[in-house]
Amino acid sequence: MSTEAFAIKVTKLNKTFKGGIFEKDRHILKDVSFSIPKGTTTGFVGGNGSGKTTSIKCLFDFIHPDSGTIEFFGQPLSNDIKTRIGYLPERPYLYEFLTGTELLKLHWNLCFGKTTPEFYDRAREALNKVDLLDAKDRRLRTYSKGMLQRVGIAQAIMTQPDLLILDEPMSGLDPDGRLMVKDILREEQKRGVTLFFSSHLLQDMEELCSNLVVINHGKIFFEGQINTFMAEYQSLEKAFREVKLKEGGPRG
Amino acid sequence: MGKVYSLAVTTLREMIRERIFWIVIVMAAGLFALSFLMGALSFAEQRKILTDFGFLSIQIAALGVSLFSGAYILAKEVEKQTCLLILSRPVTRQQFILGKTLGLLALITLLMGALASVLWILLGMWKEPSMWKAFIEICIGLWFESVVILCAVILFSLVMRPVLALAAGAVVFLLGHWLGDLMFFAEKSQQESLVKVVEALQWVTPNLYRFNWKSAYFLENGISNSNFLWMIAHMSGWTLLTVVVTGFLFRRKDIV
Repeated sequence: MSTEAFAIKVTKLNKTFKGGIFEKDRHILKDVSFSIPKGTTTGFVGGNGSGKTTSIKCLFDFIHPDSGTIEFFGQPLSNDIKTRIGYLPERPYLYEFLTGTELLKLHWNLCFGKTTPEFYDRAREALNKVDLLDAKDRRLRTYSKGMLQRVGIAQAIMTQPDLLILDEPMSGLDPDGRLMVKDILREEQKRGVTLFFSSHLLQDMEELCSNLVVINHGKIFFEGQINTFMAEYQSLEKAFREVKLKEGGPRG
Repeated sequence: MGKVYSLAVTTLREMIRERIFWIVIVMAAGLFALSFLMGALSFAEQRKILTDFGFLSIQIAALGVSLFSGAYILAKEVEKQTCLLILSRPVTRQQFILGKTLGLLALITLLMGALASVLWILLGMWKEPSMWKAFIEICIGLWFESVVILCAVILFSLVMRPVLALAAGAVVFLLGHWLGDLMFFAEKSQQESLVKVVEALQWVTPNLYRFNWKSAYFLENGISNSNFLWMIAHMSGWTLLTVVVTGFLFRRKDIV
């Protein structure tokens, strides 16, 4: 497959965090490689401290990897590429002094340099999708945790990106909120968007994902279709438990 | 440029909506009131006291905003990880730094503009056009001083904790003002090593003592054009240097 067939292609990523005087260096990512084909929905699973968030942060160069390459749509990360990506970090801390509309406007301006008339339609549409139209002029400081997560999703989808990278998009949401996020993600799937998201909620993965990347202690040990993984382990939850025990097992 | 402008406007909005900014304004207004009161108690030196206290109030207010906002602006972004969403957009880290710094510069300009206008009225400056030039030059000198301290504190905040960055900024301010006295004492002591140390300090510290123009003397006698231009060049150089180094360090920083 040509590199353009992949929305994300990560090759041999390594990252070590230097320890202090009395601390050992921590090798967080060990030759991490995976590819996300265009138009698919891929789940990124791993336990706490397995390297999920560090890997995602490396994608955006928030953390500089020691070695390895990352490509989006066959190209390295650039401003042009960033306009094609929507991102939601884990626990999205947002500027709480802004209102919902001001937050979306800021992100629109950072993408396109100015507020075009199109912004108002897109912002309205995105806020409507996450059911925050009524709260659009309230400061984010007054939003609940679930509302913050939803406005974070609104900023990610507002620019209609080709690729959505979401770090734990359903964490902290009540059942209604989770349902809403799943519906939004399904709509984005229909639009042909490539989805890549991490989650601890394995049930959500089974519902939404066609592909799976599993990481444990900084190493990828499964990458492929979720059905393949399921056929081997019957249930994803059960599989995950077994796989966690097999450190450094074979790639699927 | 639109992206930097958006970041600057957002930063300005953030700071204006912070309670600490209004506390600084109230404190500066209190100092103005105090200077007015002290001036009223004096027979002959009313104007001098009002001028000295007035410019001192502007300096303290601007310095307070520079130290506190500079120390926390980037540290807060990194600690709360609010910068992640911003940097996931087509924005370089240098643009991010520039936007944040320009937002704070706009804040300091607004603050000093407002306080200078009040002082202008209190001194009855509209009656004395011959002093306008010196008044504006003194204000510009104070503005540059707070800008240099702000940029230095932002730089420090990337390599140390915010509270230490704040302290380091205060040290730069004090050292910058004491360099003249230090040189005087070093020369008096006739110890060559001490003179060399102070000379070295003059190279690595903004020479703020040379531009300490906030007394009534400068208002009434004016500031020479060459001195004023030298101040602009010196302060701009320090500002540029610190912003470039900050951009370089932030580009290399892992946002964990």
